[in-house]
Amino acid sequence: MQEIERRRLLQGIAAAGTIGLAGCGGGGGNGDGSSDGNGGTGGDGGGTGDTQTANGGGSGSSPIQITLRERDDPMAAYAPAFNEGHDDIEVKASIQPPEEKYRSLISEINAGNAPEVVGLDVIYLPRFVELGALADLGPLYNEMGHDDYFDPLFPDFTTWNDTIHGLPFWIDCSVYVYNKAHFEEAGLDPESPPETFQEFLDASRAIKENTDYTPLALNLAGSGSLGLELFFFMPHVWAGGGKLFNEEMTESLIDQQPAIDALKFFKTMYEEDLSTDPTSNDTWTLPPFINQSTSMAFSAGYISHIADQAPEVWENMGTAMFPKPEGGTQSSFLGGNAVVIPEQIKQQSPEKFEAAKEFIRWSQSEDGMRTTVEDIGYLPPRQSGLETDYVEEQSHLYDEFTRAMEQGHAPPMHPKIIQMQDPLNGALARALLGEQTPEEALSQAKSEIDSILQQG
Amino acid sequence: MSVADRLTGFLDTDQGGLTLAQVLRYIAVLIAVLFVLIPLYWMVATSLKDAAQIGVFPPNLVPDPATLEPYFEAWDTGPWGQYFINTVIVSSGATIGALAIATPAAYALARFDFPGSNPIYLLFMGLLMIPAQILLIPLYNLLANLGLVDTRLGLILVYSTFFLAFSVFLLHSFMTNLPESLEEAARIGGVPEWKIFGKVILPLVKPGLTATGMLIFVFTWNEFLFALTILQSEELYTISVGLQSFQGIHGATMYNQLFAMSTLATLPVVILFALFSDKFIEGIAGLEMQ
Amino acid sequence: MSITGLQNRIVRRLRFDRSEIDWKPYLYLLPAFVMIAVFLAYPLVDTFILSFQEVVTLGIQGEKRWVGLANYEAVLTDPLFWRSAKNTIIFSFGMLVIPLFLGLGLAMVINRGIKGKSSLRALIFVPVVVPIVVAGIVFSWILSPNGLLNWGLTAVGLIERPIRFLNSIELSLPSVMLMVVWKRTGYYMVILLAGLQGLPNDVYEAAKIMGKSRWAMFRYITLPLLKPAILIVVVLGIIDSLRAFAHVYVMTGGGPSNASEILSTHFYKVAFSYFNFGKGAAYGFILFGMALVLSVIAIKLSGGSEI
Repeated sequence: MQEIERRRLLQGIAAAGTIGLAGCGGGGGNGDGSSDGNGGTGGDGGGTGDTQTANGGGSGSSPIQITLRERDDPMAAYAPAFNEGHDDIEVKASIQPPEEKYRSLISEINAGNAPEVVGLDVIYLPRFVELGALADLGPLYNEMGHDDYFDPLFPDFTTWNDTIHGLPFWIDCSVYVYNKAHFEEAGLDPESPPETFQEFLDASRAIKENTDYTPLALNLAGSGSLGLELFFFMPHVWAGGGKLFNEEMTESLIDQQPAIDALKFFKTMYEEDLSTDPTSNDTWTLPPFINQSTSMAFSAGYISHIADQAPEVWENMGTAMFPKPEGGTQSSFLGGNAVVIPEQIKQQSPEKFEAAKEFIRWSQSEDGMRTTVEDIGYLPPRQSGLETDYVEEQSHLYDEFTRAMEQGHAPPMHPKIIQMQDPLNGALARALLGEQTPEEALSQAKSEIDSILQQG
Repeated sequence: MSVADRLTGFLDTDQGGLTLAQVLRYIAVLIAVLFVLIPLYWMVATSLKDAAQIGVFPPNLVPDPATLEPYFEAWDTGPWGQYFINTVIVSSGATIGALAIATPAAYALARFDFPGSNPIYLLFMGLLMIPAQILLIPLYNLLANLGLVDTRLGLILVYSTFFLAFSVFLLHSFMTNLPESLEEAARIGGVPEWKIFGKVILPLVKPGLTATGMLIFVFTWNEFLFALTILQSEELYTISVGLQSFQGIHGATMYNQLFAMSTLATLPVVILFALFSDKFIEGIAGLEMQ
Repeated sequence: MSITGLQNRIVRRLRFDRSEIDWKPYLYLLPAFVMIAVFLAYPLVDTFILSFQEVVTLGIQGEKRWVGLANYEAVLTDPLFWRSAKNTIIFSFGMLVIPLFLGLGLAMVINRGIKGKSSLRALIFVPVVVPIVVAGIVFSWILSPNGLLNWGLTAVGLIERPIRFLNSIELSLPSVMLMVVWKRTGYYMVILLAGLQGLPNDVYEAAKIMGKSRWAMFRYITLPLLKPAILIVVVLGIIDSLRAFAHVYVMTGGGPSNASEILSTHFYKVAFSYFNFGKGAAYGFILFGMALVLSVIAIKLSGGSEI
């Protein structure tokens, strides 16, 4: 499997890279909290290579073992990357598919055997905090003192009930990708992708008229609770100043004009055959883009696999932020995982709690962020994570991601957000399938979300 | 002749010669066979296509070129050999476990008249109705306390328990149908009680045991909700858990590989059924006797 | 079997203890009771208690709060519960009614005058063995807008535009049912076929001599003799209609706009996606109760107090 081989290769490169870079970091003394920690660790054992031999000989204490729970194979790369620079702590990656992750995690927390570190999809953060499951990471955040986090991440991404319970681990944002060759074929300027709803419609119409391609691979309201109604739809609402619910979390605002405008935009796209079926159960939007049957696709930030699957597309594609209504501000959904420590770890074993905190420190360091960006293919929480040679080389793709990280929105945070996806998904489906007008559909969604908010 | 009569005649004659009814019957069977075969064919055909042939429209009805590559690629994505071994262990363990416990229970309920026999039978029927998912979290809790989380034994015990009521339900109906005189004769002849169960009853319900066992085996072979929750180490995964890994969240599912492994996963059970199909039917047939 | 061995030894020892009560059946039941007590009683009781509580904090020392019947009320006043209940009734046609009739028809056809009987029934049983997740994905694929079925319908000229089977308010549930029928027919057919094969031939001969019509023979001989097998199918069908989950979940996730939401998928969302533990537990017991009541009704209607 190409994908897997690539991952192994990347892991190899990552391992090699980390060794080299660790050396540089030590020499340069870049003053980062976690590098200092590493230096100290190395000092204890009298040099990395020696420590391992010492451990092998049985004279040193064996490293503290902790488990990192993540949702997808590539994230396993965090374990070797971290272990490379830490002799006193050994991280083991435990990968469980997303759908099952939280059910298992809940069971584990309930039984008192939760993993030490968890990559938790950020939209679940409030519910887990509400259940008293997560340790307070505020002191750790203050101690690290990084001051270059991307703006939208604090407080929304990390904070619930005024307390920081998770730090941004790897960030995913929503953007669209486009095929520059197709743009040229359609008579469009490949260097200025459409920015407003109207421009987007015009460009799509031009592609439809002048080429054989379907303009856009789109999905908003497919099944499988993947959350595309938040990930792809909400940025268009935010762009017009709209919101899912008000600040006080007492009332949904999804029936207001920005949401109606956004839904009408998609309805036009769909009715004029400018997009693939946005209610399809095949929720993957990239495959038709990769095999060049569409010229554009709504996408997550995880696109590096296109390089292997279709180099000719990869060479000639661009990324752009979602369109906005006239006078709005382009937006993006900043999702992804927060890194958290279950509260019970703090209670059960101070030693493991410290080890877990060390992992989090590392994850926020340049070294950890490099793993996020280069080995795994997601975005880092801090600006310095995007100020690397690797990102520089790929600037044609990363420039828009950086803009998305600055201009985007963290998810609407609420313990019942998962429950609210359902009414929104249903409303989009009904409007797009022509069962209801956008106004009717969104007004129904509003009243359904209101009743969820009012359940307390 | 009424319509109903025609219909039953069409379905249920055994006259010789190729009558119209018989032709229609063959057509009905043909449609059924096609209905069954098309999705199966599509699964196997897709598993023999390379990635470039996946998702194209119009679809390639026949893989061109046909390649075994997806099988090799998929096999390399995880320790599939180990998954198969695990699945065999878990399914066999659960089958044996459930039967070993359910058979004496069914025997007691079917062949003895004792105070409480009716409520106990109803209790088993009731247990059969439990939607197992509702017990997931407390069951995990229990297994964690017993140190059985992330063990094959834990999963075997869970499956055995869940299929206990099912097995009692099926075996009970086999056993109620055996002639009363059997045990009477044995008892009068002074045959010890354990021999009556072991040497008289058990051989007679063997077909029932085979049929029930096969059903348990098939269902546990494919179960994934509990397997996924209880097993956490990759080296303990069953096939159905392994199959989940093809539905990654960050890329398109590798359909050809998923279907390749699905074909491999289905094959052992299909072969098992093909081999024992007569015994299986014979076993199930025990159910019909009053 | 070690358990059986142990138990037999106990049985033997007790044979000499001639008290009033016959202990034998209880001994035979003992292992099953131990198993149930250890692995079922605790989770069941725990879930039952939870159905009257709300989880405040998780964990071994987790805090719970008594809420009385509020969880049951929350389920029964949830509009989606009733929508799902309605859909479940429709779904049960796919899970029970249609495959029962098809299975019975096929069993009768195969039972009489068809060559290659045993390979046929083995073939028709194969879908039962295919993992449900795989079956769901295969059917999703066949039914997708650029899938095999739409291609076939277009090629024959029956339709001009592809039909969106799975993401249509009207067609999503029937589409799932198509897969369910595919998977269940063989299961029921085998049970019914076994029943048919066991039917005494001489009864039919006698009936034929008496000049009974075929419908009469079916109605008054076949059907009554098949009753236990049909009852088993009906009970299994009822239970699985209420707990089948992956079928819908894989193909439509209950959508679009809850058009294919059934009780078990809605329950799953409440309990495991929304993490409403108390409401989920109450929901589970409502499902349990429905299965129990419906099965008892089926058994009573069939006139048998036992199966």
